[in-house]
Amino acid sequence: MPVVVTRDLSVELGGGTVLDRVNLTADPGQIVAVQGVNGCGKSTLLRCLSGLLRPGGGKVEVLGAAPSADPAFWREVGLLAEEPSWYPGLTVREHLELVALTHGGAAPVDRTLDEFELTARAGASPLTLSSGQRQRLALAATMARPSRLLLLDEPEQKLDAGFRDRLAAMIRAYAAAGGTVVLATHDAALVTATDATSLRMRDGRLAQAGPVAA
Amino acid sequence: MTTTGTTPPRTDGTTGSAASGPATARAARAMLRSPGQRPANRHWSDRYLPFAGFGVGGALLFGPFQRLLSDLSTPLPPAPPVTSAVGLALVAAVLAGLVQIAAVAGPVLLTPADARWLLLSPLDRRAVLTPAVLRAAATAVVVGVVLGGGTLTMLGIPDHGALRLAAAVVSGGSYALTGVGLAALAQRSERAAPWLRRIAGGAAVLALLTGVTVAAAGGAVRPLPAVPLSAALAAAGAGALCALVTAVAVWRGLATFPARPVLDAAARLSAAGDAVVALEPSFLSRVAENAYWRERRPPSVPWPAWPGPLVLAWLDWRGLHRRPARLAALALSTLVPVLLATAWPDRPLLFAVAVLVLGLAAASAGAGGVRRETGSPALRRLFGVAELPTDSARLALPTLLAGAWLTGALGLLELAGVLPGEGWVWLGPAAAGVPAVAALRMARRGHIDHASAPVVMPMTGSRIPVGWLTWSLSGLDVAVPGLLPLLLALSDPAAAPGPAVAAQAALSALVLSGHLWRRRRAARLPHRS
Repeated sequence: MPVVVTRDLSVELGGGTVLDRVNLTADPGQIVAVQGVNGCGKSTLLRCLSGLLRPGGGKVEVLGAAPSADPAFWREVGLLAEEPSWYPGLTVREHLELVALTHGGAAPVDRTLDEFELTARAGASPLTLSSGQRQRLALAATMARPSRLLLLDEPEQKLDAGFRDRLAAMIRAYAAAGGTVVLATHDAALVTATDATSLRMRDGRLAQAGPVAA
Repeated sequence: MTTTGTTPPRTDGTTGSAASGPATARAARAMLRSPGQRPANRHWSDRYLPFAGFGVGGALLFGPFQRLLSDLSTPLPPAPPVTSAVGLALVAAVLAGLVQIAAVAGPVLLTPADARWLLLSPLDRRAVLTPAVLRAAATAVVVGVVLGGGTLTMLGIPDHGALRLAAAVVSGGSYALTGVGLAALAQRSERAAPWLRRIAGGAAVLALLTGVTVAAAGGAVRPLPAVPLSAALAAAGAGALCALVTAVAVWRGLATFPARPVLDAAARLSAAGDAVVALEPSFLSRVAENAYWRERRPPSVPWPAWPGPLVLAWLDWRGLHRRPARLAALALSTLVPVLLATAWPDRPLLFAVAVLVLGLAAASAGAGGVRRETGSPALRRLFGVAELPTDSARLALPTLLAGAWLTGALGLLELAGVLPGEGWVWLGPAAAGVPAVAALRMARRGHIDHASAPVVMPMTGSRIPVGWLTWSLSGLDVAVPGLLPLLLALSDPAAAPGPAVAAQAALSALVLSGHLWRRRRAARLPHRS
């Protein structure tokens, strides 16, 4: 059964059409990369899939049902959108411990810190990290806990080239274990490195499927 | 270092219920309160400060509370008919305003961090949101109780003081709670929330208009009928029932409360927090303005083929034309001085201050271009226009708005009989230039200079933050002395305002000339752009 299905998904914001009859399907173990110019509707699509934006028309199904306000939804879905707000009084480690506490079944925090190259800053406040380190922490909080679907909005931003390769490997490993990934990205190299099914979005419509030239 | 990456996805395929989730919201909040059980978070002052706060607050409130209890044993006559009716209209307006503010703020409101880390998690949503709902409810009850007490002072206490007080505070608290509860229910729906805001705003306006009508009627207003104790108790009972039903509905809906409206409210709270933390009130107005335009798609209009300075000034006219609700609000605000003058007839300074502040607000509505341009005169540089002609052209709209507003407000005061004699409306055009100059000065003041050295008072040794002080006084330093003839005339109204009009016109001309001379001088300085 597909993990993500949209049928004629449409969204209007600020008097303009942002998504125009988008049809998308993602199966278990599949990585779908949505590419397109700024403002074409990639982030809006992810917000619809996460249930944070109600579509104006069409249908969205995630894990067999419409994204709901049931908090159990967030046991299955991980979302990386804009940079999260941090607790100023919590350290990097404590943020990851909070994720482990609230979601359960997360990877050991020490291992996560190691995988996301944050061990040296584990005792620091996220507010003192560089923007790239904060992006790694946000990725760790999203990916280091069990889920069946990852929605990643430009996960590559602010990351150095070395960690981008590591991120591609992580996404591949997640999909290989049966997880589904929908990512919005401008990074053609990430799409190639993850062997993702690439879709190009233009003016709110999915205009092209298949490999995209870098 | 491993290279396997993330935790493997769930393989059970079950979604489970929130109740069987990995942790409770209580455990998560306990962790947030004392992360890592660090002793630094258990400082003695953490316990001392709330304890001392409650102690001092209790001591301060004990005296008035004791006086109130003793007063209840003696009958209290109702306020004069006009004051009672206008006061009740103001109470209704405040109640509607409370609902409006609750609907704008949330009222189900989490901090941005809680919204990200606790709301978007499998934690029981009701448990996550309950503290926020309780905070909103407590605020509503406090405001409602105060309104109930105020209503009682206007209606009087003919008998059974304790029972009437209980009925008044229960009515006030429960109706306020019902209103905020309705705002919480409407917050769930993208369609209902704007409707509730409109209804609450309309109710506030209606209450104000009623108050003004009553105020205009003056001595013709008949005394309000005495409220029997049974009716007061019935109203309290009905209010309590409404509050209970609303509270149950909110409680039931919390379990599946959608995340998006809470995230939006958290974003608004974040903007407000930035303004407070940075001690920069202008953040709030900028955020509100940006939010207004983000939800709209204004039509593209060609630039007029006028000289550069006029085109830049035209931007303000166009911006105002695209916000008709703002103009309507300004027009309605001309009623406020009449209301204040009727509710507190023995305090003319009150409506004089209202005329000053609202006149400044009216002029500021036409100074958006200067406000936006302060610190970054990119558009003016793009047009390649000189500063002085631009400033002069930009004076026109604030002058017109201030003149129109003052004329309207003074005309209404005259019609309501608050101002004796005739000819008060001429003070409007005579004074128009001063609020305009003050509004442009306010628009040009930019951010607060927190780096300025504080002034140390020689006698007390206390420090006065100069940045805040100069920021607060910018604009008022022109408006107050520049409008002195108007303010003096309002604070002690005479039957013939002619001399005040002449003095105000002369002073306005002086302020305008001084402003233009100063801007010309500033434009000639080499460091100016």
